[in-house]
Formats: sequence, C-alpha cells, structure tokens
Amino acid sequence: MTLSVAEKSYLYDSLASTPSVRPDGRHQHQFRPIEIYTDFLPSSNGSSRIIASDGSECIVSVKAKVVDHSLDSDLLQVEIDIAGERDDSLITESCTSLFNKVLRSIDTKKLQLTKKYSFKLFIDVLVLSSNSYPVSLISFGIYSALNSTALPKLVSNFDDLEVEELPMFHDYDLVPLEVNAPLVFVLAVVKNNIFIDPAANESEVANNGLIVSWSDGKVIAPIRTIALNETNTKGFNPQLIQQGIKLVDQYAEEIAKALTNL
Amino acid sequence: MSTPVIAPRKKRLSEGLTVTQKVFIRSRNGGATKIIREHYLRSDIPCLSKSCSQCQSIVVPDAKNELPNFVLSEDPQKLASLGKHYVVVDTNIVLLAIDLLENPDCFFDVIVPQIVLDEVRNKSYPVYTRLRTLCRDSDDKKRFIVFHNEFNEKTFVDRLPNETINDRNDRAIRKTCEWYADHLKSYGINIVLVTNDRLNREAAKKETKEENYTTRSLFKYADMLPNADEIKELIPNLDNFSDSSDILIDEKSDATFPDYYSTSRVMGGLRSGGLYQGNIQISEYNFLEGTVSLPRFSKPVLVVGQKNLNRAFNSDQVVVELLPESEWKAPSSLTLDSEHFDINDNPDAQGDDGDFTGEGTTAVVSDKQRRLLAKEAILAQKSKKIQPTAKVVSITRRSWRQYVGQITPSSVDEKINGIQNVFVILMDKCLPKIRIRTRRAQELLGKRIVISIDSWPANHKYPLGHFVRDLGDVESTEAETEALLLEHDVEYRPFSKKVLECLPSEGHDWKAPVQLDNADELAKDPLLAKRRDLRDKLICSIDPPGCVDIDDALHAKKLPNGNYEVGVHIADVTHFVKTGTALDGEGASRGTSVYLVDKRIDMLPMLLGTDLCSLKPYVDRFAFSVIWELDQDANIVNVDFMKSVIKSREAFSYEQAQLRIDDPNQTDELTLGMRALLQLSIKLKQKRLDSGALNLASPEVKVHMDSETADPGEVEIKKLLATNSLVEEFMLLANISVARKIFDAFPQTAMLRRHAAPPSTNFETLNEMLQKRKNMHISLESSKALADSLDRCVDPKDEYFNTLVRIMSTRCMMAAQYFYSGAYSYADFKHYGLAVDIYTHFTSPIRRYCDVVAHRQLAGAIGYEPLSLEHRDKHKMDMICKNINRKHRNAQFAGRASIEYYVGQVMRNNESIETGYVIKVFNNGVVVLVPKFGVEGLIRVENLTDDVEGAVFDEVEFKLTFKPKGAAKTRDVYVFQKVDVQVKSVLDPVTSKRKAELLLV
Repeated sequence: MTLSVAEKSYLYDSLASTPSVRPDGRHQHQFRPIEIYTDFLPSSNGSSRIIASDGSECIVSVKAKVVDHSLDSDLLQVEIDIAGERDDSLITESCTSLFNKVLRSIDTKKLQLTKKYSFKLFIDVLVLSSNSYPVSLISFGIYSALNSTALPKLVSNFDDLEVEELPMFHDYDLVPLEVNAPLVFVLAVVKNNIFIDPAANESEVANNGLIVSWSDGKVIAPIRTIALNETNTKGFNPQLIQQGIKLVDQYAEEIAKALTNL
Repeated sequence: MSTPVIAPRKKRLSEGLTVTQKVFIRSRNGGATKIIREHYLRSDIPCLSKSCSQCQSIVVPDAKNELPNFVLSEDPQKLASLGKHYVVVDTNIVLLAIDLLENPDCFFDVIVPQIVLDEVRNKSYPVYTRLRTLCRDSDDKKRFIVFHNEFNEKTFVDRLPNETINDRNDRAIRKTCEWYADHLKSYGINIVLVTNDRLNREAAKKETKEENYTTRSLFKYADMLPNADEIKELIPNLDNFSDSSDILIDEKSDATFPDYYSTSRVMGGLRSGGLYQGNIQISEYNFLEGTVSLPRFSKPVLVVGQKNLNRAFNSDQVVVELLPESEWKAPSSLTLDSEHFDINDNPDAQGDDGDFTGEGTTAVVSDKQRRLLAKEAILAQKSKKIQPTAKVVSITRRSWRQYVGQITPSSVDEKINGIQNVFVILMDKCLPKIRIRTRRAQELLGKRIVISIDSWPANHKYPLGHFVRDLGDVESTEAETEALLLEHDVEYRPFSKKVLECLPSEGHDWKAPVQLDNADELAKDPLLAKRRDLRDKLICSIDPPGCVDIDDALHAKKLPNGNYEVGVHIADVTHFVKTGTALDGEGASRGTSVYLVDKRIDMLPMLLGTDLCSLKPYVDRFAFSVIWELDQDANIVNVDFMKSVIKSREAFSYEQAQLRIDDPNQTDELTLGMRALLQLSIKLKQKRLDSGALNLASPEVKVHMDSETADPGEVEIKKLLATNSLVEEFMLLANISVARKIFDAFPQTAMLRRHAAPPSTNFETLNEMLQKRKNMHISLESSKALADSLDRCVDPKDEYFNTLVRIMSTRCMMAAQYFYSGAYSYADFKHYGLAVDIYTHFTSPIRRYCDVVAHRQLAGAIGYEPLSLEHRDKHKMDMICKNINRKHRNAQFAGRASIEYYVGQVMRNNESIETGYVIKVFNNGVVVLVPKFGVEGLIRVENLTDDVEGAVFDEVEFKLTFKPKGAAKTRDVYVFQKVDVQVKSVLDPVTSKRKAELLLV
C-alpha cells in the first residue's frame, strides 16, 4: 500500500495522539472482523480457512502420521507457504521458524498413542493473500485447525514397550485432539501508543512492531519485535513491551474463547 | 469420546444420480490413513422380480447394451407360516451354509444384498466365487440375484457415530429387506431375512413398526421347509446358534486352548522379530507334532503338543513364538495318530478334563529377551540334538476345505435315535477328529462321508464340522475313488457345456487337410501356410501298452554326411486349445491329467486327448516337431522347430518296439530308424549320467486288473525296457532344446522347470544311519558326487540294499517345480536330478498344462503366431505356475493313494510272508518297507512284544531291543535290517480303513 506523505503524516499523528485514533475507529485491543470455516478438507485430520476483512486469506491443514517417538521427538511440524513469496524469502522463513517455536508450548503427551508410538502432526499453512503482516491470521488458522482436529482412535494396547505391537485403529471413529494451541498477536507501536492487529495502513506508519505469543492463559516466549515497514522504523520505549504484554494478557482469553466456540 | 469422521454430504448431480462420500480409516503397518471415496447413488436399480411392473420401466441397458434379466419368480415357494416369499441372506449365513445355499432342494428366490457379497469376499474368497457362480448360473430352479443395495438411492444407509461397521452393514441389509417388502407388498410376496444374529433379528423387530418383513434363524427357517428333516441335517454345527436352544447343550466355557494374539501384537511381533510366520507341516507319524520352516532358522522349528499347536491344521499359515529354552526338546520318536488317540473321548463333552488349562499367567517376556532366545535357538539347531520348540499364537490363513472321513463307531450311541454328536476320523492322518452333529449317525456308520469344518472355538477340544454328503460304503470302489479324488483336490466332474463348445464342430470326423496349400483350407486357417508337411517321414510312436493319448512320436534317418536327422513330434494341442477360451481355462485349472489304477481323469476332453490330438497311426495329425541333426556321438549339430502335419506309420508298445528292434530279419527303413534311435539314446543317456544325472528309485508297483470283473488281481513291480529309456532320452533332449529356445525368446516369462539341490540337512538322518549301520556315506557336493556315492552304497550280500538307499534318498530330495524364468536367476534354473542347466516340459501337452504353455511360447518364438499376453505377464505366469505345481503334486499323491488302496485290496486275498526292510525306528515301533508290494507300514511295539515297557530304544544306534512274543531271548531290530514280515490286510475297527498290516516273523 502506498500512501502519500501527507496521508502518512496524518495517520501517524492521529495514531500517536492520546488517546490514539485508529483510521477505522477501532479500539486499541480491537480486531478487524474475520470469517473462519473449519474442517472443510475431508482428507485431512483437521483444517480451517480464515478470511480477514481486508481480503487476506489463509488455509491450514493438519495431517497426522504415526511415528516412533523415541526416534523422532519432534512431533509438530509447521510448513508455511505464502502466495507470491519464495520458499526461502525472509517473511516465509521467519514465520515458519516462529511457529515451529511457538508450537513447542503444546504438550506432546496428548499426541502419545502407546509407550512407543505417537502421532506426529504436520501443519500445512497456505497464505493465499495477505495485505498486512500475516502472523496473527496464521496463528488463528492453526488454532482453529488444531481445535477441529480429530485423530484415529487406537484400538490396540497402550503398553507396547516390552512386547512390540503395531498400533491398530478403529476403522471409522476418531478422537478429537484436545490441546492448548497457542495464539500469536501482532502489535504496532506508534510513538508511545501500542495497539493490536494493525491494518495495512497502520503498519505503514508504525515505528515498530511487536509479536507476542500466548498460550493457556498467559503470555509465553517468544516475544519479538518486528519492522512493519522500511521507512518509519525506530526504537521504542521498553515500557511499551510491558504494555503490550498486558494488553494481550487482558484480551487473549476472550479471543481464544471466541475461536474455540466456533 | 469419539466422533464420526465427517458429516456425510450428499450432492445431487443429475436426475437419478447422487454423490456422497465414504470415509474410513485404514490401519496399515502401524499407520493410519484416512480414505475418502466418492460414492454414487442411482435410482435405476431394479428389484429383478418378474412380478414387479414398476422396475421394468426404470431399467437402463448396461455397457454391453443389454437389459438386466429379471430372475426372481412371480410365484415363489410358499410356506404355511410365511406365504409366498423371497429370502434375503446375511453374510454369516453365506459363509456358514454355502453348501446349503447350493443345495438344489432348498433356498429358491434368494436376494443377496451387495453388501453381503462384499463382506463374503473379504472373509473368504472361495465362498465368494461359489456365491458368484450361484448367482450367475442360477437357472430357473434356484433363482439367485445380487441386489446392489449400496448403490441404490433408496437403500443406502450412512454410518452413524459410534456404530461399528458390522452394525451398519446389518442395518443396510435390514433396510434392503424393508425396501423389498414395501416394494413387493402389492404383489403378495413376503420377504424373509435369514440371519443367525439374534441382535440383528431383534433390531429388525424394533425398527419396522408394522413388521413388513420377517426374520428367521437358519435353523428355524429350515425347520419350516417341507423337507425340513433332510435340510436340518446339513446345517453347520455351530454352538452360537444363540437362541435355538432346542439343539444347544449347556455352554461350558472352559478355556481349553490359549487365545490367539491380537492382530496388532502379531504384526508388531513379526516386524520386531519376536514372532515368525510360516506354514505348519504336521508330522505324518505323529499328529501332535508339527514343524514350521522359517527363513531365519536352518532347520524347521518344532511345535509339539496339543496346547502349542493351538488348533492349527496341517498346512495352515501360522504365526509362532519360540518357547523358553527349558521347553526345547528332541523331535519325538513316538508315533501317534488321531484315530488311536483318546478313543474314549465323549463327543458330547465340550471342553475336556482340562489337561492344559493350568497354564497360569506367565511373566511377560520382552522383545529383547525374545531376540536373545532366537539367537540361542539358531545356535542350538546347528549343534545339538535338542531342538528349539515354538507355540502357535495366531493363524493367518486356514487351509480348511472339505474333508473325507468316516464316523467312529465308538462315538455313536445306538440308543439315541435323534440328533447326536459324533466324531469323524479324517482320511488325512495329520488331522484331528472332527465333531459333527447328525441325526443319521447310525445310517452313516461304515460310510465314507464328506464333511466341512465350521469352527474351532478355544473351549473345544475338537473342531466342529457338519455333514455334507455321503459317498457310499467304505471299501466300495466308487466311494474310495471319489474319496481320494476329493482328498487330493482333483476336479473330476465331466467337462461343462461351455468347455465342450470350444471343441471343433466336426467332432471325430475332423481331418487334417490333405493339401496344405489348398486355397479353401488356407481361407479357414491362414496359419496353415506356415505348417511343414512331414508326412513323408517314417514316424512311429512307442508308448505303454493300451495307451490311447499318444503325445509323442519319433523318427530318425541317416543323412548323406553320416549324421542323423532325428525328429520328435508332439501332439499339436494348442492348435485346438486357444488362449482365453473356456477350454483353456478348464485345462489351466486342472493342470494335469490324473492317472489312477482303474481310471484316468483327463485334463482335456476325450475328443482331443484320445483322438484329434493323439498321434494315432495311419492318419494325418497336426504336430509340433523338433528336428535335430545329431552326429555319431549324439552331439547336436543343428536344431529346428516347426509346426507340422505328420502321419505315424505305427504305434508300438514298449515290448513290441523292443521285439522289432531285436529281430534281425527286420531291415526296413522304419526299423533301421528305430535302431538308430536306440543307439543314439544309449549315448545320450551315458552323457547324461557322466555329467551327474541321478538315478533315483521309488518303490513303484503296478496293479493288474482282472479284465472282466475289474477286481485287482496281482501286484507287480514295474519293469523297464531299453525302449522305455529310448523314448525318455529323446523327450529329455526335446525338452532341453525347447527350454533354451523359449528362454531365449522370452527371458522373463518362459515356462521352465527346475529342481533345486537338496539342502544337506535333509540328508542328515539318512547319513547318520548309513554311517552308523553300514559305514557308508552319501556326499552332497554336487549331483555327480551324489550319484557316485549312491553307486558306492552297495551291500554285496543284499542286492536290494542299493535300491533301498536310492528310495530313501529320493525322499530327502527337493521336489522339482515349474516356474517362469523371471522368478529365479539363471544359475537357479538348474535341474539337479537331470544335471542340466535349463529344462522345461514340452512333450506331453495332452496331459500337462505346462507343456501347453511351452508350446504356445515356442510357437511365438519361431514366429508361427504371436504369443498372447497371458503368457507374457509375470503375474499371470506366476499364478499358472503355482496352480500347476499344486495340481501336479496332488495328482501324484492321488495316483499313489489309488495304488495303495488297490494293493490293500489285493492283499486281502493273499496273506503271505515277505521280505521287508526296516527304514525307520521309533520309540514305540518300527517302519518296514516291503518292496514286493511297495507298501510300508508301522509295526507298533504292542504287536512286537508282550512286554511293552521292556522295549529299549537306542537313538544313537537306531536300534529297538525287545523280547518277541513267546520268546525268551531279546531281539534287536536295526534300521536297514532285512526282516521277514507277515503281510496281511486288516480293517481297522476304529477307522474302518483297510491297510496293510505287517507283523515281524
């Protein structure tokens, strides 16, 4: 999005004022409307499709495979593909590594099948179009995909340590996966103000960005800063980080609830 | 908590066509895959009832533009309580009572829902093919149809959450019944669902409020039929007849046998190496001992005792687990057969006195310990007498088929006139007795009967079966012949109409064309132009006396350059048997002709075998010829293959040919040719023996039949004449030449025959015996070494000894087998017995299917006609090879069994004292072979001595020491010892089997 100097200056001033005024009139903690569909891919174990009001769209599929967890302890793997970006572009790689880190907060005990075998989840994310920084969209997509995931039901014995057994599954029934999926929020810093879910035009004038992860009622690592544009980026008051964390702490619970009750 | 895979979605594509999704999880190799299939539903599937007027209007033609055939009668069977009705069967009924469904006296107008057909296919393929045949060929009498309920919009049902697939399928069947009942109500036809599943019947009552169709158990349904008594007899023996309490005895659930492991445990164990899979072979001397050959072990692993065999049948595919070292043992030197084991068991008792219930809970053995155990076991096999033993933990595939046997008189209670449980002893000694329920026990006593096995629950000591049919009195020739054909799985029914339709329409009047270039004839058969006219050659055939299916004929001529032209001419069967015809299919499935003492079961119809293909003298016949140029030393200078037309000048018997050759007055060209053949064959044989061909022996005898009464007269050991080996040598030469040619042309799929070198372990016991008793040895380095060492095994005092050793080594050999060339590497093509690098069967296409394939491949190789895809496809060739190997083996066994039976009949009249040889020594008896009759028999210790306990068995010396009856001194019997035995034929009172009984004199 290209803005003229005058537009940028106007936007910056209004966002930097106290109280800040967002161009679309949102509160500091308010999200733009999103649409989410879950479980729309019949052949994957869980899936979701999420569309933001600015036309950004992302689909997520969760597939499971049985692995010996003593050989492969990495039970969650995220692959992100962003339309229009190369696989090795900065944004794709940073998003992928971010989510692989964030998802470590998931308790892999829930994926354990037997003493020897676990499910390994392959989470494939495809960002079809993104008009603003897509991390938070992807995170909501993964969150709802994981919540809609149902895994094959084990019918053989759990204890296979001493006497080897190949896991066997029920031919029809599935068990819903119950994990506390993390959420990732993008916050924009403009002068001394900080607010959630910056739109494209807000990102354009932001002094800096902040990525805050949250899981199961509290903010977790990693927390990162990120440059939302190439022209306006500056340092910011470290206290803003605390403010941002507080903001996330305060509202994440409700957002998670909204996403869970889909 | 569980959820269904996905909410099913339905989408209407067009008028009468809807698509939905079928979703399921497939577990494979420990993984789980979610599988989605599109499933189309239609509205144009008819009910196929002749009475229905609506369905005629909805049907659409199939791909062949044919309309479906309406089969179900408008006037079906009427029963008092059910009225006019159609029958719907469920999967279990089909699996259990396929015999009953095929019975021409019950079950008319049967609807088989598609889901039932699918389930049957997954459970048992043979039953599936029988059901398919029944539906396809159901004539006006039986009227079976398949209703595609799964594709019919109105009868398709979705799977509900938490519903097992079986429940869903049962519901689909009920839905089908409901639809049919509704559909046919106005025509006054009722629907009866026959199912043995009580829950299913109850659900049916619940679901259909107005009860528009009825459900019955198989027993109750049969009970309502007019011929109920006969039919009920044929109902499978199953104790889960749930509510048919009238025939059920109290369930007593003594866990007699250990339970089988779960599938996941078996799969896991097989993968990690804790469990092993193989085919079990039950010892023919001891039915409680089996062996399983496993690739990891150098010797077969023993499975000893009822508990460890755990309900395995001979040749079942089983999964075994090694037992702890403390339970390893030497193979038992005891003989046991089911007929003499626990004779007094009561067939009404369910479990038994619990002799192996007290197993208790053993500590869990981890996989690691198991692997260590396996290592120990392999070592033990190499070094010690003690053999590792194993137990059966799962049965992958049952080898159950129909068996022939007879009821044991001791199990029949003569006071009971109604239904009772009786034991049936099977003809196959390796199998346990079977418990059947029958009302006709007394009537069936002393008859050979066919039974079928239903199940073997863990709490039953004996498997449960049911009576199928009665073959006739024990010892009547018809019953015995049919029994042995059934036992060896030989197809002996007459050829079907479809097969006979493939024969030339001229029948016996068929003639080979006089002129090969005649335009009319060429128009009929364009390949005629490629046929060579060999009618000028002086060809003759030499066969056993009375032979009517003449496969081969020969000729020889001295060439101007001093070499010989030698021709082998083989009946051109493939001219009449084309690939893909019903005739070819029948030949392929029969695989071989079967020769019994008094009967021949042909592979191909008589018209071909004994007339059109048979190379009869004085008439023109088509042949496939192999013509060599051989030099004076019988080396091949040149070889040529061609389809030809020949005229045999004479059909000799071996004796006649011998006389003609030996008669110095005969100097015509034909005789000269035969003499040349004989000379060349002697050289060929010598060359073969020099390169290490084996001369093995089997105690072959021939039974002479009285020509009028067809009673067996006397037994004679087969004689061999020089002319026998004349024919044999040239057939071998032809086979080898053809093998090279077809392997050259089709390196991946050539039909060949191989004979593997015997593993040294096979000879271990024999060598030990020879070493100990005779200080001789058979070497196994090569076939040459083996042949030479066999020649050295001579006892100057006993000329038969050498033959005896040859007979015993033949039993240590591997069986030769058919294979396609892609299955093995060239080095493994070797035929060990004949000492050639490549071999096939080409010379008897009338009686062997392998030869038919070889003919086609040779025709392809010489460019006579293109080879059909059937014989160029590895997978298809594999199927053919497997089948003909099996049929070939069965035919041999059937032939031997027939001789054995007749020998028994002969001896019935002539009791005598004969010379015999001890070939095996057991703890409780010795096995003696009587060469004169070719019989061998076990002499039990009980029959040798009064003091059974006093008999001493020396394992190392192969010696049994005992005190003969009425004698003061003890006697030693060694292996290889020449003994006089009294041979008489006795009827075993328990099994009513006649066999030669031997008594030491």
